[in-house]
Amino acid sequence: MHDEPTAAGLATTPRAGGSGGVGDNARSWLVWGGTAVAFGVLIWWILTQMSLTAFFAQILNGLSFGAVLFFLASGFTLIFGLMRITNLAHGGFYLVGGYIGISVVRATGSFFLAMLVSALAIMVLGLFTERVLLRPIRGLEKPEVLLTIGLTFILGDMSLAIWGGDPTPIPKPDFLNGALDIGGFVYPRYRVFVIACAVVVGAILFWVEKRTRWGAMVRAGVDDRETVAALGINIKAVFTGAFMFGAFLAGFAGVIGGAFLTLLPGQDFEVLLFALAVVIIGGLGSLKGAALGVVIVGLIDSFGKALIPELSFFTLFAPMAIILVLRPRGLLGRE
Amino acid sequence: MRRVRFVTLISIMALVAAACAAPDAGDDTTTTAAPTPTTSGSSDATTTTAGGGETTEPPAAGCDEPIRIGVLQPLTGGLAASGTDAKDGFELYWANHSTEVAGCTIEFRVEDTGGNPDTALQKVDELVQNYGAEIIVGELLANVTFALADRLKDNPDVIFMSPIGSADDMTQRNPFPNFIRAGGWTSSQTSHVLGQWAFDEGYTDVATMCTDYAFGWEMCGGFTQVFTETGGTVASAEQLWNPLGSTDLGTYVTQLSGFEPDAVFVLQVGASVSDFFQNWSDFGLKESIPILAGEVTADVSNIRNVPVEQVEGLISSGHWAEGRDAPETQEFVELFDGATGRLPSYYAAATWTASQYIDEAIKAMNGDISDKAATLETMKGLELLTPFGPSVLDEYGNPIYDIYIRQVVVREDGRIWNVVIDTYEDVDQFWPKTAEEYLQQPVYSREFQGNAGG
Amino acid sequence: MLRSISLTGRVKLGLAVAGLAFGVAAPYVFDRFVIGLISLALIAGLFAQSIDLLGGYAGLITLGHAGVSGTAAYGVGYMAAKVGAGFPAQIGMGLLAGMTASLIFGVMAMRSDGVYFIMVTLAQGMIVWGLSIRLFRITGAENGLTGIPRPPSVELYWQYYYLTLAVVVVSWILLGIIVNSPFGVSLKGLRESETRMRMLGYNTTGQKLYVFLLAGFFATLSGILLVYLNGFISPSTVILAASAIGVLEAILGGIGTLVGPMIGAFIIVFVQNVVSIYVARWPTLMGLLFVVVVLFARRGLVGAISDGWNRWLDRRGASTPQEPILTSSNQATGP
Repeated sequence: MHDEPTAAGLATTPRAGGSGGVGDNARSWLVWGGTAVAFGVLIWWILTQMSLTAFFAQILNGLSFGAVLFFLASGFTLIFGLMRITNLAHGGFYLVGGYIGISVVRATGSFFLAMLVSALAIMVLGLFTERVLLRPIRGLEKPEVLLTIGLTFILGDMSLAIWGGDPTPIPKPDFLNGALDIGGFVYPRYRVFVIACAVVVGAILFWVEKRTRWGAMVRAGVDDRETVAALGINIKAVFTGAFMFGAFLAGFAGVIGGAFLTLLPGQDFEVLLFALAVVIIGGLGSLKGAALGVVIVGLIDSFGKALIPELSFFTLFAPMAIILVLRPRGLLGRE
Repeated sequence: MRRVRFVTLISIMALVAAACAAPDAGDDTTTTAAPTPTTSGSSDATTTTAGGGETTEPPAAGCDEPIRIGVLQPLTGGLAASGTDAKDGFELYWANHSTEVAGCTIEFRVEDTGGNPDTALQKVDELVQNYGAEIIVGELLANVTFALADRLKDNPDVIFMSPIGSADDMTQRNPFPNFIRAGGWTSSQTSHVLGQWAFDEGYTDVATMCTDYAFGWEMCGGFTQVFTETGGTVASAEQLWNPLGSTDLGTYVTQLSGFEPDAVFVLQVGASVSDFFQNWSDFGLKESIPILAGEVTADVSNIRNVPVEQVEGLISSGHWAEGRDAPETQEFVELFDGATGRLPSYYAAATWTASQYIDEAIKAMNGDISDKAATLETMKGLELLTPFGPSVLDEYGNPIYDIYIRQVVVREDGRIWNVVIDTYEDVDQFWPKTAEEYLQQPVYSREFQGNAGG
Repeated sequence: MLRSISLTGRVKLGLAVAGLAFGVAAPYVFDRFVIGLISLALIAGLFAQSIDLLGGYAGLITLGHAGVSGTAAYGVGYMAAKVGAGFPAQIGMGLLAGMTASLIFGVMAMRSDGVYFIMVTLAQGMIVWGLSIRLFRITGAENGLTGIPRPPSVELYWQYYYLTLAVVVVSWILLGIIVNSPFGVSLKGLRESETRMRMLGYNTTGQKLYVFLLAGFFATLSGILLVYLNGFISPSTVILAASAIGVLEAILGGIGTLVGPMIGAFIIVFVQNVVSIYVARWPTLMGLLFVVVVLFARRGLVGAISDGWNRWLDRRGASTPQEPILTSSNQATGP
């Protein structure tokens, strides 16, 4: 079974390295114990600031926002982890996916059909992008930056031309509107739906990564590209497939997100920032990291804005900066 | 690979052709539009010439040069929808009125600022120096408007009109000399009124949620000050401020429901408007806690695409009400709807009105606007009937309007608009105080909300 | 003496002299609008050059440089608009603010590299943006600061243009000295492989900090020039797009050269301010420009020109000693 030594290792041992030994174990207990205590104090303090229902609501708020980001971040981290491509057009994929979803809903009335169609459409866009635009410049970081940003400008402006600039939410199906009432605790259905979707999709992604042949190839490719190629695996096809899959997720994210956050020109760069923050905090190239990252980002966002409103402009980037200064590879990153 | 490259090249050329063939951002309108007789209502102006002892001038001999107007709006980026409305409103006026005014030809050009002050400054230089614009109309964002006003303030040959940019202070404590807000407003002007109305309706304890920048501070401040000074309560802990940009508003909605207020005053802009109403509805709060919206939040440009059930019955205040049942309003609405297929937002009404002021001012000056100071005085003296309703300018260059309490209703054709349910007449930017009283307090900010409760 | 310089060298010298002559003669030929535009392009070029020092020469791409130049600009603006201090104080504060920001950001970022460096700098830029909106009393928040007059004797547009030209030319010369110095050469080693440099005994962290400060200095200059040009500063100057455009200008023109970013800046300023007058879909055109340049001129425009020149030289014959314009590969190292 393919282990994940690096990721697992980073997650359970303090960074100071070394291998084994009683001292290390004690140290690790201290670190984890200390973190748990600090965490407990934090929770206690938060509960003095808000009611229990509000507390649960804010947790769900953070998780639902994080869930939306998960679809974006997972595709992005997959593309980066495997191909070392920082796909800055990911935000553009999201936005166009969302707008295509709008058109599908307006034409057919089906939200779920929109999710499928958008995801497929952006997957095709991803195929075109990877094969035609990115392949010639594989490995060249700066041209990749220029090209993917250029692509975002084109996608964004064309979206403005085709769908106009009015703020446009994606209409949700009736059964996803309004609130769930569980014994007095009222909470929006759609947010619960998004969390559920993220869990399901996350589970599928983990399963694919761990249990399928393709997932094994991807993981191997992330760890050691040359060897994989030397083994005769058609690494190019794997790459293209991964990029397409990442794009698929981005298109899907556009529809799920577009019903959550209204679509507007300029949002392509805004959601790209969210995705970047998440994968950085969690660690580039790691699906677990993306999951951890979205939870952290989501919770900091909802609690941060509620408890320390003066810092509401910084709830995303201050943690990112702090984490990067302390752990330059992100929390679960690998290189 | 070669073929792929070739295909790419062809697609790129096609895109370039499409981009260049798109209607110009900078439309130079030099042809006189087919002159339809001025539609009644829009130009039914009782024009009083400024100043007392003006001798009757002989009819103007006409201008040697056309009078050129430069319009600066964001036509790309996040504000594109509003900027496009503003552009359409401006162009619609001249498409329906003669561009031969008092013997002079009117020309104008619309330029895209992209919402960027740097670009706006370059473009205004181009418009004033190269194009020869004598009147500049713009912009939308407060910071761009400030930048433009600062750039133009030393230019005696240009009048700067801001029918949309509503930063309070520009016509209060820090007025710019050649600046006038004909067709415009101050941010707090309309929310003052809502504060009064809310108290009169019996609300005693209100929470607020406004976007955390100057426009939000001024809107919230206007509401809070009048509401609390009349006797209501706004606890400062119940004033929420959310950052600009796409952000999940769920955390704020949860907080608001925890306050259990009588009502919530909300000012959001752009995509956050729709986000707010979605969340408000999804959290089940629409039925239990009424929303009092700032003008922009209930403006059709922001709620056009929102599901009807989320905003039906929404109360707001504003100087613009597209559902207002008066000929001067409805004729404009029908024209705009006919030309663009959508109901006009206040951005469109604002630039139309600015054009109206320009039209009437030039007529009143008999075509000679070379003395800009005198032209400004003349403009200030005009009393016009605009799509907003009757409009008079105060001595600071800001309009005095009837401010409406509006409600969102659904028309027979399924679209939503704001109708008038109450009117407060002759409201100026300082209402209900006098100018002296008002100017003694600082401009609204996050720290100063005029909260009588402290 | 000229004979001892190769043909390529003579051409470069000729171009430099021609460029300078054009710059000096410009106000006599062009009107105020064009001169204002050229001033803006020169400032943008200096900004892009400072980014290039980090990105092209040291291999550290920064997405937060507008935070540095913006801080300097706000320093000047604050002293001018809020304090009413004299010009020496304004400029002094601008330099102080900008360099302090560079120092802080440099210390935060010096342990990172590659994508993580990009992310840290991005977070830094966003934090500056958040501060510019929150610190109402200092920055005027979203509305910005107006009423910033120019220093005496450079008040008129053409006078200010000459000042800008002078500062940019001197900076260019200084930058040239830096990149050709032993320190500058060591930067290229840093770009190729940090590990190797460390093994060779270089203090790579110190190197990174030092180049960050140098780049910060030139960015500070560009920020000060900009605020006096516009007489205005607002958060729009420090948004992510401002930093990103600087990077794009450098890549477009040719990263790893000094003339490249300047060319890129002129092109983009031209598109944003002039093309946008005539073409509604100008963002699409700009995006297409990026895509085309990447696909057909991978090393930027200067790279393409240089390649073309070298090919022509080759065809001319091998008798004259050749000296390519770009002495080392400017391609980013691989992943």
